[in-house]
Amino acid sequence: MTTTVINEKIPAPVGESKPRLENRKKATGAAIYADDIQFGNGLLHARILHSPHPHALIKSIDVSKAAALPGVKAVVTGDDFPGFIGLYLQDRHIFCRDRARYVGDPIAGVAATSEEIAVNALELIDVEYEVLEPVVNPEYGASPEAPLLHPDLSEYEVASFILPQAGTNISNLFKVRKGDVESAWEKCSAIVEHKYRIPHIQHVPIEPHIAIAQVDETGEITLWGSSQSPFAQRNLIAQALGISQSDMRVIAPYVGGGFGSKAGVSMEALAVAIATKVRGRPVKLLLTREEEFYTAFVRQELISYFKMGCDENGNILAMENTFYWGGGAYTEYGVNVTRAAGYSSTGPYEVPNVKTDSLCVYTNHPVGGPMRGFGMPEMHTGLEQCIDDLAHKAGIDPVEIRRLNCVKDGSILVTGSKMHPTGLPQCIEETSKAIQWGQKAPASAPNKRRGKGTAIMWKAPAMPPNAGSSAWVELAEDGTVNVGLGGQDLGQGTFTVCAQMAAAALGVPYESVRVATPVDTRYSPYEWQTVASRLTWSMGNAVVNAAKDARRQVLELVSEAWDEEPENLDIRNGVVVSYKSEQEQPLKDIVIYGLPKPDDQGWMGGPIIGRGKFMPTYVTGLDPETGQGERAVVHYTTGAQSVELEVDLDTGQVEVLRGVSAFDVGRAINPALVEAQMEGGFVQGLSSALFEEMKMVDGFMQNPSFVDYRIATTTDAPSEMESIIVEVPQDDGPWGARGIGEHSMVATAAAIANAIYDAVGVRMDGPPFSAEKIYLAMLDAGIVE
Amino acid sequence: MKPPPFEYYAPTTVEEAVAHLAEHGYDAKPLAGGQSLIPMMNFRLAQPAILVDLNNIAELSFIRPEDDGGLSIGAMTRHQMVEKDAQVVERAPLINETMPKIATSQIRSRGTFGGSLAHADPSAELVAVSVALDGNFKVVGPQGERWVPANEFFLGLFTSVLEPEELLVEINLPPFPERTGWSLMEIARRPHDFCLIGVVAVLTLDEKDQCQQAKLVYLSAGDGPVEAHQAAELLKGQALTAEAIQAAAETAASADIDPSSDIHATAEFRRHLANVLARRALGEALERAISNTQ
Repeated sequence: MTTTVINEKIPAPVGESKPRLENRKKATGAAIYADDIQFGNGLLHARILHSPHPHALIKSIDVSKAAALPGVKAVVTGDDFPGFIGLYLQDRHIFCRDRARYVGDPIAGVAATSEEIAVNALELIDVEYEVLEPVVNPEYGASPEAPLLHPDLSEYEVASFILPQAGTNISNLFKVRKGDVESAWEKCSAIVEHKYRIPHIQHVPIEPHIAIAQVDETGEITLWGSSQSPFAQRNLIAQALGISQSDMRVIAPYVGGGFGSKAGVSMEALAVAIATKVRGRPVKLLLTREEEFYTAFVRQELISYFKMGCDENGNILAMENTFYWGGGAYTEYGVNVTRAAGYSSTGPYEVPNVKTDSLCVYTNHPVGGPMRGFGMPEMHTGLEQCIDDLAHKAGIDPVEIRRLNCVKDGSILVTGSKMHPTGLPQCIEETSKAIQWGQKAPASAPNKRRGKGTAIMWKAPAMPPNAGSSAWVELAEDGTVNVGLGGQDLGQGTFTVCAQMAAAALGVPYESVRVATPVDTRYSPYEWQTVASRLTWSMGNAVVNAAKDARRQVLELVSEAWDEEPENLDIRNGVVVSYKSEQEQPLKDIVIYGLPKPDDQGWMGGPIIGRGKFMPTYVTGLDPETGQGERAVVHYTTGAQSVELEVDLDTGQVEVLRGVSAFDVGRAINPALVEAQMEGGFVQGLSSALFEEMKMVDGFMQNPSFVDYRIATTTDAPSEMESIIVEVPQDDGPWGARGIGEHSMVATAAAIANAIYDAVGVRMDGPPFSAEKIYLAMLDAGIVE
Repeated sequence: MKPPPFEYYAPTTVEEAVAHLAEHGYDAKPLAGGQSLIPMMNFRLAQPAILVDLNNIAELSFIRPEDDGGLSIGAMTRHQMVEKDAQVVERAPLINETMPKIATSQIRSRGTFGGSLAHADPSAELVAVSVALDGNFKVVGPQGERWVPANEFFLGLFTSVLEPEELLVEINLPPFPERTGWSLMEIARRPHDFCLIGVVAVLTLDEKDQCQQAKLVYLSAGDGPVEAHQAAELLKGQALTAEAIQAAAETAASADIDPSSDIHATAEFRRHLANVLARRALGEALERAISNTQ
């Protein structure tokens, strides 16, 4: 076990499972979500006309009949909004201009006095299309034969670390060339090769996307939305419209689930664009469930090729991986998924010789974007099955090969960076122990076979090198604390965790801390986005720094008033105390009105407001040809998952009986929330393994409803789930903390696939592992007749 | 989405309800528990101009033991009430076993016994079960009442013999015969989903423990409940050996049913599952029949 001793004492309530701040509001219905906000009779309802073709040129759009319909207040098209929009690659207009690239691409928008009128108006818009050949397979899309979806790719604005390939459909190519793969194969005693296919899935938040936009007579814009990224939305929409960020205000009430789909900008820009044409009136756009499935972000699909080999002792010597990511019609956000997969492409293993090509490929599918795991579940699902196969081929136990090769403190990583202290080996031990690895339990019925599987993972926050956080901490007359922050609570509990950290850093009880919500870009401090499992670490640091700043101000004031050294003073439980003079005074007597000078000769101090920020400064660039560099990422969270399941030989049905997760979170600020993330991620991973798939035929989604698109529910969760917290502290995390939000679903599908193999000896080329697929695979393999 | 505008009536008697239906014909739709109709209206798959809400008709909610040993269930009786009723446990054990398998408890708290049958969804458990139990349906229209046997009630996909002005008001289940065993088995992608395929088996043994009568009715295997007549015929008068059951299951799956492919499963796989389920269901029904003779 690797441990790092940290000298700082862990102050309460860090490490305590405090109840979530908003529990009571949510349980009683008092919590306000975007659709709850009342806008009065002036509210207009927007609907969007979507492209019915996966790929087509737009020859003409006639909106005159729609505009003339009584009750219609505005009809807009791409002609009205020439600007580009996008996070890492500006490849998208708010509305299509000359070309539609997926079924669902926005062609025109209508605002009307009722939703019904808006829907009727859409039917009056005449669009003339020239239908083109669609690209529906990323591997084909990357080939020279494929029609180009973005002929102007080379002219798009792009972040420095994204590498579009001009004249192709490849909007990012991330390469790793480390060591010498070719000569390494000769030294391998076992080599395996596999191809896997991971389908598109969707986040399916229970609250669909919603945006309400209002533009006042001076052009100032306010946007209310269900949002993971109010600041990124402010920035990107302002850029697209050519206005100042300060004239764009985003207010972000409670979110009913995001999982990545509400990061960056998707449909929000549509509402804003329409609102610019009806100044003074709020315009609401609420996606239907069907629209949620294919007009918001979806998870990219992936065709992956793995080749890996090890020596006779099981040491992995080489990996050669090629990833064709189906990025969908626009990859403004998705390009970075493919970069993350590139710089993490060995999985959590130390491999001396690596060749990786990770290609982001445009297809005429819905827009691939960020989803919980950001490429890692898709990649690990194949990679971790391949590791199992390699172990079997080399005659080594699958857990043993992971123990042997997994990254440890000081390992040289795929990018040449050095691994920080990590509890991955401990996670492997913990899950193996909990699942009783190596002991085979009898199946529950003669027609069933039982199996166990394990998979490990790593994931770094995928973000620009300098994604920043900021926070403020102010105190009220009664000594209660208000924490200002710009990240969003999606249900993961970040507000609670930040309140705990503020309480600990300042020296006040948890119960006296509030978080200033809703996040409002006009008043809240800057936060890049609520993504990448980075808030506990990054925003947490900012909050701690702000609390420390407030604490410093209080102690400096008291030190002067009491004429004592600040080192002898402390704030404990909301009271300033002196260890020397044993004086004490509650914060409430200090933080607004200051303190009287001696002998009533005036006052000193004043309202206390602490400020803090955090931004990593040490992430370096990587060589575009080799992917090598000093430090590719801020850190990696690592972990392991194991499952036990049964397969019905007659029907192919799988029942997952037990799930065990162990993750190194550095420091669990709130252990109950960490465990909830592990459980929730496990079930979402299980859902993606067994049920979820956007069934695409020629660019059309076949199952855009909850009747036909299945997600796991509580009845599908294993009756036994165990979540184990491992804590090897992060050097720059608050009390050592790093993220856990996404990691918990990364290895699940692979662990399930490995357990199916253990049970019945078959592998499928990709999820979902439906009963039919498993049965057919068993038939093929001669396991059943 | 929300439904388009509609007119709404809330009669308190069957007579009144039938009068509304007679007046409006195909424009009207009776509303029972609303667990299928309301979603269909919200998706605008159904757009009735007039809704005749049956929820205030108290006389339609009952569970009544009959003198002959049978059981009658009012059409507006909630699933949940049937699920928890002691008379049902005693007199209609297959119905008792079926209830928890219908959708989820939330749906069962509102959905009704008769509503599920009148909806005539081929994937509904009660549809197949009512056929397997030789149920009789009491139908009331402007001209009075008529009785329709369950195996004549269902005509096709969401289609029954009910005329637009008629109401299903009561379901009668004959006495459960002695020396009889039953089974309901389904395979769904997740618990509580519409099943990929399901089967109801009811076996009655003669005094020599041979098959006196067999019923095998599939759900999700066609446009309505699909009775496996050829399989049942194979079993009649036979000793119910594993081989006989296997042969019947294979006949049922290959000859009696004609399932279709959709995005959840191919027709071939459904046939395979139909075979597996028939074998399992007949086996379970046989075990129960034997234990019911002791």
